[in-house]
Amino acid sequence: MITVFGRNYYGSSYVCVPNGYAATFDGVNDYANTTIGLLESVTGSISKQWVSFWIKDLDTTAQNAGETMFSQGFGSNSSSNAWYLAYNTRASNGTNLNAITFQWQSNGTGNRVIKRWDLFGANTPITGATSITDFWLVNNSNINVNINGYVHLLLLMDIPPVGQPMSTGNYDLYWNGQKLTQNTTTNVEIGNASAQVGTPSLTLGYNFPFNTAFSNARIDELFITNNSNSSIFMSVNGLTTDQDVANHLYNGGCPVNVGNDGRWSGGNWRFENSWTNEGGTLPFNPINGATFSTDRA
Amino acid sequence: MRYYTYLNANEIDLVNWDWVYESKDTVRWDNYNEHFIVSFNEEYCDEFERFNGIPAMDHKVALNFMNSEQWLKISEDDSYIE
Repeated sequence: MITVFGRNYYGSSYVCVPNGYAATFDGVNDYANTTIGLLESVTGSISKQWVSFWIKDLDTTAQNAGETMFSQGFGSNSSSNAWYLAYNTRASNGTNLNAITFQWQSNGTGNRVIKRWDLFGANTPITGATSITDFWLVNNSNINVNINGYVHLLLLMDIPPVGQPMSTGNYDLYWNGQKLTQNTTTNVEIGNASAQVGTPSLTLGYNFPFNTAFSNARIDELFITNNSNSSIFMSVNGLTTDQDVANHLYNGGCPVNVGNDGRWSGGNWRFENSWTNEGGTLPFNPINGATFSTDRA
Repeated sequence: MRYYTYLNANEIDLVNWDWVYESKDTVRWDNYNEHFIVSFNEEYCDEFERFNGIPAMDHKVALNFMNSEQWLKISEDDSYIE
């Protein structure tokens, strides 16, 4: 990508979706949630599901609290189908982490998967973070971001069917279109996948089921697919592999137009000064002052 | 610009909820359920300072305040991280 006369050029093959706003969260007490979650284990076979979004971390110093990017589950109840993705500069006791953590607690701590991706070490060429203390902060020029300071993250999962071992799934994270190397020493894959019970909330800016980790960040162009529409989206767009999906959604560094197609628009929130998804069926409800910013991806 | 302050639990029915971004049902409580935090626009800073005697916090100060032992939540997730 080059910048000429104040305009961004991402190359002739990349078309950016017109974008004027992002959702913004203060890291103190605000968040947004829906009345229905989208991620779930289904009966029968492994299903490909993903969570794609652009995010700008607004912290200027390391915190002893995680920053939740998204969560899904029931308020203050992590025992049943609780999902989250969070970035930790440090643990609550001050230990440096500089890592992103994914957890899906399907049914208590005996049935869950936890994945950790350090931003440093093997992932330095992808993230730009040079060490465990080279944190992802808004004022750290080492971090690889797009021209507007945003990172594209794609959590791409092959979710095991109900009753099958959590270890039969795949859970990968892509940073700006590149697959991060997992920290295998912190991996947890125990127990089996459980069916979704009830109607959990999808939440941004706060770990709703674990009641922790508010996020001081902006989030833009959220795109979640569940068990059936991911394959349709891939087929329509000629995407064969997981890397194809990552490349397509990263789009050379500018948000791609995924199209307002009813087959997947229910999982697409653009946050263009609106909390409603493109399908018009599942709005986020802003809580405690969550709002929008023109500082967008 | 948005400002923040914290109030005692027994003051929750004294808050003018039209002045703040939060609602009674969604306020963030500290770890001891003794205090809750609210936020408001600059025009109400003096009102809240007169009420609780604490200068309103700007966003940066409030963020640091949430990192204190009183507010930082240690969850099951954190116990795993340790």
